Amino acid sequence: MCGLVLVVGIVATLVACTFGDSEAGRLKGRIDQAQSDLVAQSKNEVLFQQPIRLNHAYVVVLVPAQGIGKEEVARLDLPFEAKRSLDFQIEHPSFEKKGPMLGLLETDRAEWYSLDSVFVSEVRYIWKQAGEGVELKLTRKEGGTEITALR
Amino acid sequence: MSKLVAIALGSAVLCACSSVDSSQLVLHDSVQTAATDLRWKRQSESTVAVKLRYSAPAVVLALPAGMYSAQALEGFMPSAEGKEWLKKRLRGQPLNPTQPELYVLASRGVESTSFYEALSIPKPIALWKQSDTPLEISLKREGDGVQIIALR
Repeated sequence: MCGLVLVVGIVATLVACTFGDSEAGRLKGRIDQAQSDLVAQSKNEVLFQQPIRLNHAYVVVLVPAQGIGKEEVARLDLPFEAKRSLDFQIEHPSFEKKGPMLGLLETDRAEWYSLDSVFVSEVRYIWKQAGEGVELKLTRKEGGTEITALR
Repeated sequence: MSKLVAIALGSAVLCACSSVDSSQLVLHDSVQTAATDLRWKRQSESTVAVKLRYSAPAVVLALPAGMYSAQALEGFMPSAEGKEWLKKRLRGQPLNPTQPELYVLASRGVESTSFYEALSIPKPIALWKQSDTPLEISLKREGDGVQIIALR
């Protein structure tokens, strides 16, 4: 019985990891989905809301493929822990960086994803409180789809 | 099952052997948690109340990093009674915190806690605490950090 419970637990964990069963993973999936919809429906832009189920404050940040300097990070209106996490990710990327980065930063943890379906022309970030969701706008431009708003 | 028991026993032994006194962490952790909360909730000010480890009377000092002679420390204390207490407790010894630090000088002992990142004390504050009510520490968000601005 114990063995069965253990196996079920491991499988559930693996499934969760594989499909990004986290708020950041879901947001990344929603961006990819919106980009696909935009192309499939031949629209120029799409606006969508994504609930973020966290019971504490958080920051969503989008970093362009060309990166961001330490000085620029220091100037952002973000709490200390978020800046430190951003600095660390820039210096020690947790994945092979191919495009812009999406980060969901919390007081004691951060989760990062590489965005390969869209581009970001400038650093965008939003600081939200517990229970608040985010709103993003994707716009089709020459050369791809850009995230043009993060609210 | 036996592995579980072994793990539980191991954890109990580790806890028992740990040299960290949890009561020392209360002051530090309470302030640190309140400061993190203040930063992330984008509030401008807040107050955290902490029950002190030692009973009153006590002198509480909030000091930025620096070198403070006993005489200088007495100068920060507005209360004459508090000055006398400080004189007795310090016996002419200076305090030289290398980080922003909170000191509680009580008759039964001294408690001190340092703060590192993102928590600063812009100027020395001294409080003569005569009752056993919780110590109230006022915090203010300043840029991406937090300052200790008052004690009560």
